[in-house]
Amino acid sequence: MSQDPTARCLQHPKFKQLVHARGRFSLIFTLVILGGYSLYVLGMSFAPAFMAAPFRDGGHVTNGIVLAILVILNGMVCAGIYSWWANRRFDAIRKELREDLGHV
Amino acid sequence: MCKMKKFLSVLCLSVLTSTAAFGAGADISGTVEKQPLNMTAIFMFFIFVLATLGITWWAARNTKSKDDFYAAGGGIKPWQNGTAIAGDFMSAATFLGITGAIYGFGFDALILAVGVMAAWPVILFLIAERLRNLGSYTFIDVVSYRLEKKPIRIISAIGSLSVVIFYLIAQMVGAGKLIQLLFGLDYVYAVILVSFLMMCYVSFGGMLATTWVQLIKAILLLIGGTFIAFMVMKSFAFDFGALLASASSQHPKGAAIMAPGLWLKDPVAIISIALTMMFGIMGLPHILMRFFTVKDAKDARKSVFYATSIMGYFYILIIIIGYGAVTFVMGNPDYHDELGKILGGGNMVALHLTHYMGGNLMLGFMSAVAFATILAVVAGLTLAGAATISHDLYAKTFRNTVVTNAEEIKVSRIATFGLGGIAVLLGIAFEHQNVAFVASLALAIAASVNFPILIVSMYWSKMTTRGAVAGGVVGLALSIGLIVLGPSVWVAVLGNDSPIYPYVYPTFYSMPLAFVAIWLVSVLDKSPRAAAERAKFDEQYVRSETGIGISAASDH
Repeated sequence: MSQDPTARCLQHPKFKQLVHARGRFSLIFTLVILGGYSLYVLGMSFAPAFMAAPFRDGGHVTNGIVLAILVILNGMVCAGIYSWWANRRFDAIRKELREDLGHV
Repeated sequence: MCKMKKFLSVLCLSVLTSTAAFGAGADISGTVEKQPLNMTAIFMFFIFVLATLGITWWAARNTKSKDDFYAAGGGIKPWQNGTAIAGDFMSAATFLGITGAIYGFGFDALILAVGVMAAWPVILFLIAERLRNLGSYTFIDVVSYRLEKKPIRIISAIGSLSVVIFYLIAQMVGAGKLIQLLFGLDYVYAVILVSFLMMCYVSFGGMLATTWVQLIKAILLLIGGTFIAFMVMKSFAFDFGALLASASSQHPKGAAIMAPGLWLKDPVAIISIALTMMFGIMGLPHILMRFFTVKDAKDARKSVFYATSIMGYFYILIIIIGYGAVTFVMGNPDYHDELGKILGGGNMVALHLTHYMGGNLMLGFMSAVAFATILAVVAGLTLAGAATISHDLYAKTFRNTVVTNAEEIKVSRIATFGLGGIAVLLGIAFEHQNVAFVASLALAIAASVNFPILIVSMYWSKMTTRGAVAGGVVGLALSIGLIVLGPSVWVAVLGNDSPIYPYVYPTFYSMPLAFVAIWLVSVLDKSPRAAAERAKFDEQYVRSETGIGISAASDH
């Protein structure tokens, strides 16, 4: 018990579990968002012909507009999944960790 | 004729500002023959002002400590906070500015919406929880957590205040134009009126009033936006392709408005604005401040989810409204003057479309809401600016003794009045800029100064005070310097023939170089202070992940 509380927490298996799980989870989601956005931005920058092409033959909806709407929807869906998951999984681990360390 | 106009303007001002004589005031303004629409707009705006002043009165009675003033005592519910955050983005710059930009440039303008929707999820994944766990009122609390307080607070405060002031300009210009068009009130009076109401909300009601004003307005704007988008889609039997086909046939550029290239001409311009939108949002002080109004990290997450959903929905409405405006407003003589110029300028097309779809009643409603939007956003910005001045600069940097609640709140109020005055002056100076572009300049500074310092301080254990300050100075100097040398100031304001820096947005260079400066100077910093700062990272890391220790910061 005499150990420094920071060191105790850092070595706690539940802390490691929490940090590992959340680190991986946020990284994957961040990459999904950045990937979608990059496609849109790089498409505008380097493939304007593709962005200007109709999504379906003869239609007025272009690939660019479809991509823009997909990035918007992607943001909503990813935010939903992440917060739903984090509120169940991570908070449960965190609660146990805090109890183990004597913080309620 | 001119005198008559002035006289009517003054009458309108007294109608809007006097709270007692509504009936009489309304009759007087009803005699303005040129503007028969004023009535509904004034009436609805008046109700909004009364309701929000009522809320401010209630909030003022519940605002006693600085914790209440800056963070509403941490007692805002996630859905309320999420709606208020979304409200901050559904600003005049969004509703009027993006619609106007789609009207002018088509597809390229969508990046102003798409960038926001890429930023928010990442704020959720990387920033929201750590921010809530580490800070108490402002993001500057977080960056100064383990660094030398004085230099880091000063550089972050400069970044923060620059953002607040640029954003204020955007909102003030929108407000002035809007009121000029709708109420026939002089631009200058309009700007003063906005500033006056904003000072009431912020200085008396603090964060609680600011959040509620934002919340109510967000709901009203969602209702109005849904109605307009619904009516547009209904005109095309809910066929989005048919809407775009009609817009293409109306616009002088034809089908090019569905493709990139009308506004952003080359990859550097595109990537620069893409970085500005995405990372600028992560450094907006008035947004980051909202994470301290909820009770813990879990509620911070929920807030972001609500906010992202509402914004996503609203941006889809804006796309429909933007192309709807091309279809129904462009080429419609009702909304153009004798010379074929659009009435009220490019920022007003959203309201012309509202009139087309919903008549005078709906125009009145949406004008009042648009005006309310400006009030709400301006209030949030000013509160963030005032908190930076009173909390970060006055209490934590320049006073060495303990500062009482009363003193700190008093300084915030003085700061609020100061910012209100500055907003009026700059609003007048920037009258002729497109509001969406001015707002984006604020984002450029946020992306190049606040965001790099914030994200690195949370994730990189080796950052030192010198590194953070160097990054902040580089980001600030480059973003402001390149904006001044670019087309927005060098050509448009200073009247030179061609810009020295060819792009509107400096972020392509300023943000990466700010990161490089942070890294380089931190790595080279061998001082004992730097070693101590690095050693404190573990403690910060534990707190940011677990929230252990935050009770001391937010429970009073």
